[in-house]
Amino acid sequence: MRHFLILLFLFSAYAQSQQTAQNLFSQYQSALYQIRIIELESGNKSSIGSGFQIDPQGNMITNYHVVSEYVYDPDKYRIEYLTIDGESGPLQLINFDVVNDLALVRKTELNALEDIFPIATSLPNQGTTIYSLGNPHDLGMIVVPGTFNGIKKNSFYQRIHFTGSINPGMSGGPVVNENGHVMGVNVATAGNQIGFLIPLSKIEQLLTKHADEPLPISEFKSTIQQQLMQNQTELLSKLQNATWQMAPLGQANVPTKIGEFLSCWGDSNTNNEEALFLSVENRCRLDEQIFLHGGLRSGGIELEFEWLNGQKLGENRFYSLYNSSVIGAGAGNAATKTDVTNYQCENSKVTNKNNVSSKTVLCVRAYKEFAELYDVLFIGATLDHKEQGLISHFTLAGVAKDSALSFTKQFMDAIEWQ
Amino acid sequence: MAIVLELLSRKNMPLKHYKFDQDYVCVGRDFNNDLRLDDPYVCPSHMLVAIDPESGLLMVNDCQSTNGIKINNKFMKHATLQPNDIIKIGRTRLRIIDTKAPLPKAMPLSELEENLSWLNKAFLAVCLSFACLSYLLLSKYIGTVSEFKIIAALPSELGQLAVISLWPLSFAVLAKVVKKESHLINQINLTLIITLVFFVLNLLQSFIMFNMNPGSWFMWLELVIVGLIIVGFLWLSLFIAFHQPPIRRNAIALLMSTLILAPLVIFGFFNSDDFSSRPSYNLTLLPPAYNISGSVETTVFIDKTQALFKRVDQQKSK
Repeated sequence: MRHFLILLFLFSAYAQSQQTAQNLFSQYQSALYQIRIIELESGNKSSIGSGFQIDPQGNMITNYHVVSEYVYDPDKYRIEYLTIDGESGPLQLINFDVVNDLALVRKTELNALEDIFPIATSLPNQGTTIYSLGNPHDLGMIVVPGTFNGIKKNSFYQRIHFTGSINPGMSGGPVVNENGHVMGVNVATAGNQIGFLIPLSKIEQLLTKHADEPLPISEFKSTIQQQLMQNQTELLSKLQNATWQMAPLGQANVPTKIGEFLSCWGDSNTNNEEALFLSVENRCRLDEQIFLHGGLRSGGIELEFEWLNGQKLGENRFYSLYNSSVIGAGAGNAATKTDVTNYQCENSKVTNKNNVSSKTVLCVRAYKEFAELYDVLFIGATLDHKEQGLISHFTLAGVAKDSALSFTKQFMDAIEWQ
Repeated sequence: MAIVLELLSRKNMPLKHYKFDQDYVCVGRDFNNDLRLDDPYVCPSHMLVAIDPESGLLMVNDCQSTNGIKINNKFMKHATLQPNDIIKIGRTRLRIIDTKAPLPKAMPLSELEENLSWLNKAFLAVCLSFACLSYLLLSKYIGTVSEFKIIAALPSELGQLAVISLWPLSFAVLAKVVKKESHLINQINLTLIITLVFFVLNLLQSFIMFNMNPGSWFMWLELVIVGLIIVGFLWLSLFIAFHQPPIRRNAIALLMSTLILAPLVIFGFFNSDDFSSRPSYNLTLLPPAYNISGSVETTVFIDKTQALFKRVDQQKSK
């Protein structure tokens, strides 16, 4: 009997969520659009995403990455919407927020009656069922119920943690509560049943920031540059002012946890009984990167420390291993010839303020489209021991010269011997 | 008075010579001739070579032959010969030599050849092979981070040594082909010495890279040094293998070095403008015992890196 009651309860909960989903679908489907980027030469779509209307003036919210091709190449593409009923029309790009992956587009031809999604005033309680709407795989509009799990902890870029499956193509679709009020925008999936949404506050920021006048096409790139610049200043100053928690690694003390938003992992080769040396690794990175276009991402940070101990190898053999451990470092983000220049490097023997001497190299490459933004890569290897060494390494993507150099200095001076 | 007739190959290389102590020589297919040629295109009595009694010069006369006489590729019935004229009758090539004409002086014997005699010692070859093999094994040992077994490493290092020995071997074979002494031991010793020189230079390069962080000029310096060694090596290999006039030897040595060095220069230096998503840096690390140069403070290093940003900004406009 008790089992039956539980089953009945489960079924009714399921039926209820089913009903809300159906209601939502019928109520708001006319305010939900497929956003298509049309390639002008072929006249066919080159990418699709979702978007939703938020006011009777025809303003719609979608993801920046959905319209990124148009932002990068306004002469090659145009933006179009497609309704559930199959009607289509042109869209105008009003503004975007590249850091939070949001874009505001506007319908230029309005009907007499426009359906809109109202925007919620606050976020719901953790555990509440919320609904993600969108258009995955070009199959038509769907509703995915899931659970609101609060703002993702320890992240620099605020995201809602959503348990439910967001599929490709649902990007830019709204996430609504039971009343159909928008609380977030679909953005990314982290694998099975875990999705991330852009929270309400970022949508509000974009809406208050945007002027009624659309951003001129000539200012697209400079706007991206300004937003990236502002973001990196904030990110790096937060990182530098955070407490750098020092922990022992081999004979050194290194910062193993910097601030709250870098996630850190450790590893070692102690389980490999044949290895004649000990390698202990400690790496931290920023989980999110900013999507710019195509394969280009920016804003990533990686820090890495590796302690090598080769007392069984002897001096010369250890240094040969040490040498091969510092070659072949690469960028943390994929970029092509059109995005960035080649790296230029400077190397030197440096003794830091804690009397740790290292051979160090700093490499820099510039973004071709965005003035004063660089990718920076650093490697240092200590020279104070005959059979042990500490390799320190970091990469910063999309940073300005001053913040990069002041971070480098702080990083280099943080290392000390026990 | 003597007349010398020299039979030539198609490339005008001397095959055989005949000396006649008389003032005239009859040439033809007939057995009555002074010089009998077994060539079906030559008439039984084809040509008469004589010394003009008045001027003392050599002359040829066509004896009404079917195919005539070609002197330097021109048909002649009758001609006075100049030194080095090539005479063609039928399919046979001849040179007629005036024994009164003086010969060029002898080539001076090279001091170098005497000075290089120490290379021709088998014992030295054994010692050098041992030194090379030891270096190869030692660098293999230093390069492995797992357990090292000399028996397992030996075959591949011996193989490397064998590959290195192919070079002197090929020179020895070439020398044999042109019917000179092979000088195999000399060639092997020379090659092994050069190999050792490269090993030492390699170590020196690591030491300099570690302590000095030299700029791009260092790569050019390395290239020049490697170039000079290769030119010298090729020149000596040629010197030992063949008897050539110096100009020819210099030219061949330079040409071969260019062929060897050109790919190095093209791929190593002129491709650096191509886009690469990885930085190219040299972070040579050596044990503290080799660390002889001082280091700078963090702030000095940071100041030095300021220029990097300018450099990549300039690249952007390209």
